[in-house]
Amino acid sequence: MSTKTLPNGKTVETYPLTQAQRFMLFVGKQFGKDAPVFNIGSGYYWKDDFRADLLKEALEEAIERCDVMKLRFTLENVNGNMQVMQYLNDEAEVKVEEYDFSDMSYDESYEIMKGWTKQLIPMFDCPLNTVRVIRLNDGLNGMYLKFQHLAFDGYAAKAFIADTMAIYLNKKCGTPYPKPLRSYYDAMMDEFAYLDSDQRKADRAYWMQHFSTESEPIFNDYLREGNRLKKARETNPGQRFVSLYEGDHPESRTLMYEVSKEDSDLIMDLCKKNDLSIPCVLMLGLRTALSAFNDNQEDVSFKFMINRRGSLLAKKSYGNRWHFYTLRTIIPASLTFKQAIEEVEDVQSTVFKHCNFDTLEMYQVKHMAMKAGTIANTGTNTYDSMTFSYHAPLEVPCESEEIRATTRGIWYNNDYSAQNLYLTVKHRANDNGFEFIFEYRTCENSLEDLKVLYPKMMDAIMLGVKDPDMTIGEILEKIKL
Amino acid sequence: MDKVIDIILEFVEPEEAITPQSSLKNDCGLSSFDSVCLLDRLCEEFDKDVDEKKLRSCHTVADLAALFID
Repeated sequence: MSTKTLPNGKTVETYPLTQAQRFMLFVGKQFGKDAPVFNIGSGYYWKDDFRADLLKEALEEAIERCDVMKLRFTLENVNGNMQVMQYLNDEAEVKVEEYDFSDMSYDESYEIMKGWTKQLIPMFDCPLNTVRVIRLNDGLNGMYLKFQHLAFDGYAAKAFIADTMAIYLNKKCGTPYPKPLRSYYDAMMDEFAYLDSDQRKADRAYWMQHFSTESEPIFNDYLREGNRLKKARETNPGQRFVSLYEGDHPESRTLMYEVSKEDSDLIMDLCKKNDLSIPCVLMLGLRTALSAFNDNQEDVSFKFMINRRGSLLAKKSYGNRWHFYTLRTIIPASLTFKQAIEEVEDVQSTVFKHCNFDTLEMYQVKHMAMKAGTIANTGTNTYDSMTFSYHAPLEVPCESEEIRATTRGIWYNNDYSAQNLYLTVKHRANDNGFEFIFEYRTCENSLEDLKVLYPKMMDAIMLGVKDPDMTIGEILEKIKL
Repeated sequence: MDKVIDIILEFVEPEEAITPQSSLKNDCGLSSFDSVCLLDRLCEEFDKDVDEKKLRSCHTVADLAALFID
């Protein structure tokens, strides 16, 4: 901790970035150039006897309750190096504005809000987030939110929406006011306490041991025609990794798929009845598709996002807590779908146990621990072709089930991504069914190839969900290309 | 058992009161990540080492408590 005097003469206590924030900043600066990769734009709309005045009041109260709205970043000279630091301002200084798009088409208003999302957010010594009341056509109304990713991750963004809706319904219908939130400062101090803990030493020792003893992983491409490992092996036959991000062009687009309510319920029912993890079923589907794309490879790795929110303090203090780790599973064809889910769960649990360790430091440990001739010590060589992220349902209060059926949760893509291919699976606001959103960099990805990945992944999932005793080998045979 | 339930309440806020028969996932609302954090917290509280893979056989609060209470 240090202190800094702001231009207005006030002195504040400043703190370093947390590990999750440092990782986000590194990836954004390294692979995102000056594109708006830190912007998260979202909308939440519904049809009711809309009270814009009450929603505005609710948003103002939600902002006031939320420490992270007061969060600021600043540049500070620390031992001769300019570093990004953070502090909590006395006030949020976020003004809730109202916009009426009811006289234009949905697509026109979508493009306007997408344009807002693409505008770079000034980073230092100013408010980071934008909150607006929106009227759309066809009776849809609600809110537009633009968050800075070092301050809010996707979970925090949805938690803010849920808090706002609880306050709105309290004002409109007299439903209970939401419980108090937790302190961002306390959560940040918890993160810093970990850095000096025995647990961190134990986690570091675990990863060092893990990487120095495991066999070398292998890159499984999601591209079939332009398989990058096969191309690399033309000059180096034994190679098992590839270099991604060549060219550093962050421009991206999204491919979105909706899973029917019926199929979504089948997946969730299987998990509920058997105490299985939904993201593990989805990740098994993804790894099976990647396996099919790579000659039924048994050894599959990809990155996955870990929403490190166990305690109520971590869940209710917002901020950015996401870490990214590799999920590597070696699953023989003889395992049944259900056994394979359990294997994915076991691997996931082991990663979870040690995932408070800094993602950036984990990569340093990996480079130190792995044998010579495996991945080189650069930021672009990898065994992970893509990243997976699952957003668990977080209940957003609603006045009635009829109104819930009209609700739409929108993600406004900013058209830039620091990641090569990023699959986000989330639940629809109106019926809880799954949405698969593939955010892909346009410079490296063939749309034709990408369009094959989702159907293969869903085929693998649905075959297994309908017959959990089917073996992975049988599923691979049925989805073969 | 009361201590185990109190510790579970550091992680989730279920609508119904937690009993030994409550399902960890469906009744308490614990995610896989919550469960691993909870297990760590219980290990610290009861000064005992338990492999996280044992979580897979824990369906109820009583199953989990049995890992720590003789």
